[in-house]
Amino acid sequence: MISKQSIAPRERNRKKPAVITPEQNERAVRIRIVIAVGVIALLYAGWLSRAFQLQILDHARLLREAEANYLKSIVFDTRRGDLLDRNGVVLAKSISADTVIANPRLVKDRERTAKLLSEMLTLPLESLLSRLNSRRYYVYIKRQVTSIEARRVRRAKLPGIFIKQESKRYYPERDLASQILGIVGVDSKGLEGVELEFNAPLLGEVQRVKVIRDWRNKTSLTDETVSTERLSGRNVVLAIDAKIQRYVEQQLKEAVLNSRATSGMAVVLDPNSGELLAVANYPSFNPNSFTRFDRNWWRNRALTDVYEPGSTFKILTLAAALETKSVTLNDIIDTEGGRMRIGRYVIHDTHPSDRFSVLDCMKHSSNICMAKVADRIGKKAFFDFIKRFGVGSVPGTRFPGETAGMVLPLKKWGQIHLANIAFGQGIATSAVQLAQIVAVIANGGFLVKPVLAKRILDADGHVVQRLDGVQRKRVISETTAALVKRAMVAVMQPGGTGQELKFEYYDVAGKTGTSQKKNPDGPGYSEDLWIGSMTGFAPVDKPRIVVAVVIDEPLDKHYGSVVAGPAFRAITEWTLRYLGVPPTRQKPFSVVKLQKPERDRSYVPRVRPRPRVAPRRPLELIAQNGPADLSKVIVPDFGGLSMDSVRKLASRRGLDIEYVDHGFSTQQSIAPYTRVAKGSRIRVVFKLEDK
Amino acid sequence: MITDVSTVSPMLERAVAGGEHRAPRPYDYALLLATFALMGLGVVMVYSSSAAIAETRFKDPAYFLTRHLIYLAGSVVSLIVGMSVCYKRYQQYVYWLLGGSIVLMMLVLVPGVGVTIGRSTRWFRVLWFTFQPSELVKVTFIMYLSYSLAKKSAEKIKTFSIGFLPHVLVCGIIVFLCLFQPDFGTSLILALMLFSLLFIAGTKVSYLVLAFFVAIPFVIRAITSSTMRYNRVLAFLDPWAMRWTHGFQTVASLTAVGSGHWTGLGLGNGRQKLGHIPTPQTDFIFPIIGEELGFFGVCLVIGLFALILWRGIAIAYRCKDEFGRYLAFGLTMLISAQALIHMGVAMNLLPTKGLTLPFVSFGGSSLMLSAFTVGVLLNISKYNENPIPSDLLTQIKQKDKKFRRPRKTKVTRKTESERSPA
Repeated sequence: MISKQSIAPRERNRKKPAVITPEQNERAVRIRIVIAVGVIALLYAGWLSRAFQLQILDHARLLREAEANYLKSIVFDTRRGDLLDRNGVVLAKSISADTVIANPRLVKDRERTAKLLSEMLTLPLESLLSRLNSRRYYVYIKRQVTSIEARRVRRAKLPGIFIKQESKRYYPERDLASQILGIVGVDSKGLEGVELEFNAPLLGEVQRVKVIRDWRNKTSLTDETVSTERLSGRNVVLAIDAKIQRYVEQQLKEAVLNSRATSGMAVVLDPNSGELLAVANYPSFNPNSFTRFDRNWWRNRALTDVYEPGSTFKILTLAAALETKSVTLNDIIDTEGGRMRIGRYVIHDTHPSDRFSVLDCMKHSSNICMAKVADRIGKKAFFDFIKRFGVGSVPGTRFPGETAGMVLPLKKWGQIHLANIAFGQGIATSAVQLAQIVAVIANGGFLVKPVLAKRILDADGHVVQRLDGVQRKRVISETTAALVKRAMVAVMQPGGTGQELKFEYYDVAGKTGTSQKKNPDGPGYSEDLWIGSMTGFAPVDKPRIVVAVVIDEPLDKHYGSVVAGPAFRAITEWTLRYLGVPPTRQKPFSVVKLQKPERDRSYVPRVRPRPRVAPRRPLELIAQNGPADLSKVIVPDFGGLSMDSVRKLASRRGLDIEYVDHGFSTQQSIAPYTRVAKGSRIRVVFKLEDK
Repeated sequence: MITDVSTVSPMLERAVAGGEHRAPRPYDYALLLATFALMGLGVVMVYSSSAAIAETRFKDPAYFLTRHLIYLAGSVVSLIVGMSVCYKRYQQYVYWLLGGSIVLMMLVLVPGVGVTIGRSTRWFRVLWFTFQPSELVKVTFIMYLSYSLAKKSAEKIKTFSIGFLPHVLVCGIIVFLCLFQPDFGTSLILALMLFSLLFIAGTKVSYLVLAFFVAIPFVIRAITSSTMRYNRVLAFLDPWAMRWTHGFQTVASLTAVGSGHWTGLGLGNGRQKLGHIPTPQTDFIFPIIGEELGFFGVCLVIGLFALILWRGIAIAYRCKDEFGRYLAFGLTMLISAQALIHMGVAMNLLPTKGLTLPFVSFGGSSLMLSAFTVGVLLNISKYNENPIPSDLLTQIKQKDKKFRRPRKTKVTRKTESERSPA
């Protein structure tokens, strides 16, 4: 090593003589170097402690701030699940559809763009212009356009106009079971039917993923994963069988059109499991374009609407009478020549007679007989039986708007009510409830819960939830059921009301029904509005299906066996054969083909609005074609509404109501659907129903 | 046996002296190691921090990496040059070097010659790369100061007119040029170098304090004259209040460093480099290091710079001649000051100032000059072990006059007495 002194003095010596010796100077410089380095070293230490403060002490806060800046969460839309029939036939699925959107701020020539788009998509020019002139970044031009429209827009390559994919509900079977399936709005939200009830599982879970964004807000990285199986919603398997449903719908349509009825309903129920194999309504609609159809057609009337079951209800009356041992099948009842007076009212029989055995009562569907039988049961016991058979409580299919049926409270029952209810007037059930009542007879005395949806599956087909466990409770004894069954078999035999229906392969138990409808214009029953129905089950020995067919307001003939019978027969036999049930008859009857009536081709069925229910949507919709005049309102139809409903309806529209009397509304001073100034006074007359 | 110390380069020396006369390698290897460690870290961090923005901007994630590697190769060359050229030669040509770099500084300001990036005109285009003369002027200014201070006796240095004023004036001229570009960062560095070198040379502290107070109005003027600088100072005082405006880079930088914790998010996992932090490969590479490598990474970086500081100062301390001592000190301070300012900005200890992190940041001029600085320090360290003969300068002068390569005859002319035995 070199010694320090060896060269330094030599070099210094060459410099001018100084007061400060070079050695002193060198030492001073070195001391100052150490001082300077000390300062720098202290700074480094300070920097390090600052790093410690930021990275260790303030770590949590700073990381939170950092993440608030660069993390964003992305929502993964799930594909709405499918609706399947019991065999896996897809009834509803989601497909992607093109939707035309615009970023008005990127649109170059608004006038020209609006003009082109209005031609390509057949949209009104003004609304397009106003949308393109908005200061937003995202407006819908037209949602879920056809592929032709989308191609036109793509080809035009208009700046600021984009096409994005949206999920659209598609019903491959078109109008099949449409009222069961329901409808889905443009935002993939169930609005009616099963789509509404199972909206949550169908939609599935929305997945949020935290992603790191860059400064242009573009997604860059993520450590989280998206579960692909959860990207699609759950599938719901329905109890209905698409093939049976299709056949039932066809037969129902035939029946409605042949009898020139307003509408019809048909239900096929498995009496043992309670599964609804078919629930049909006619007229039906195509849910792919539901907006084009009358709103009333969307209702699954077999589940949501009530009607007075008429003679088919006698099954329940008879069961109650036999169960309470009020009568036996062989008891002779005086039917008073087909005319019986109860107070102010007179009851008629279609097949007048002086006396009938109870069995014949069923066979000939005697009202007087049944009224007397009910009288023997007694009001209280009969009321309890009606309740036990499920009338007055919802069947439990989970269908939205499912009706419980209507039973007059026991304390309001007069003698006439007891008599009326005995033959199915003055009481209301849904078609499914009727099938449920018949099923009690068919399965030997059990009330089963009807099943509409069997199970919920995940995207891979694994069962997530079972909904189809048989829930049943005994309501009558097996013996009683067998006796009622005997009576129902008799109905189909010669002399019975169902004798004209020749069944080729199976023994069938049934009951016809012809009920009067309430007079829509006034009190009491209408003279010419009827409901023809037919219900029953087959095969008699080991019933597999319960069928109920209800034809509303047939125009020409109104007897249940005539208007509903052929459909009932066709449905029953076809379904049993489809199900592979061995025929009970070796040699088919020589079939007398029912002559197909001449059909009025111009006839268009219509569904009456649901009675006594306030319109679910504001009626202003009716006026949407006219110019909007906000000072005027449309007078709603108050007909049949309670005072409270009238008050609500009127206050929503800003109408003044003068209440006359009480009960349900019968008259209104200004006709429905007329336009009146807001605040107009309307006189509404109310009346109590039962007089 | 070492026979010739007058040769220009050790390589030449070796070639001349023959295999059996190898000189011991007296270079400061710790310094070299620290430099290479930082450069290695730089390669990794430049790639990690720039890949995302390079991909979006140039469609090539390795855009900055490939250039950085080229610069790195250049900087290794400049390191070897610095190591090889006897530092005494800078003393010889110090006015040429300083004058040349000042001319380059002026040339940058000539419209059409300089290249403007952002709001500053600081660069030349050399072939397909850019060169920043203000990086060069930092080094040549230190050379000038070292020469000027070494030349003067201790008494003269203490005088105002000879020891203080001329240096301040030269510094003032360069700072003036810098502010035209504008380049406030270089001005600051130059002023710091001036102060620290004057301080260790023995200028009266009262002059330095005086100069400091005289400079304050100018600094305030410089800050308030530019809205950007003013806003940056405001953002420095309370970055969170201005986080959506002028404080965004400070906040991004702070949150980046703070996200690191002990071990960091891991190499390549940094998030702020996705454009949230500006220029993550140059002026804000430290926050990315802090974010990805955590406190340990920060310790490593500060430790390596501290090692450079220690070795550099040790070289200065041990240096036998005054020029070398001042030069080694000045260059060490240059590296340390730049590192401190860069890291200080990242941790909001200083207002935002665009300065690279030596050896680590992307940037050709900065990298090459930093490497050259280390080369010079290594060269000085060599002569700490092998003393320079008194007539070295005369020999160099003679040789340069002849514009000739040294000959074997010259080499063997050395006398035994000039060699210093260990």
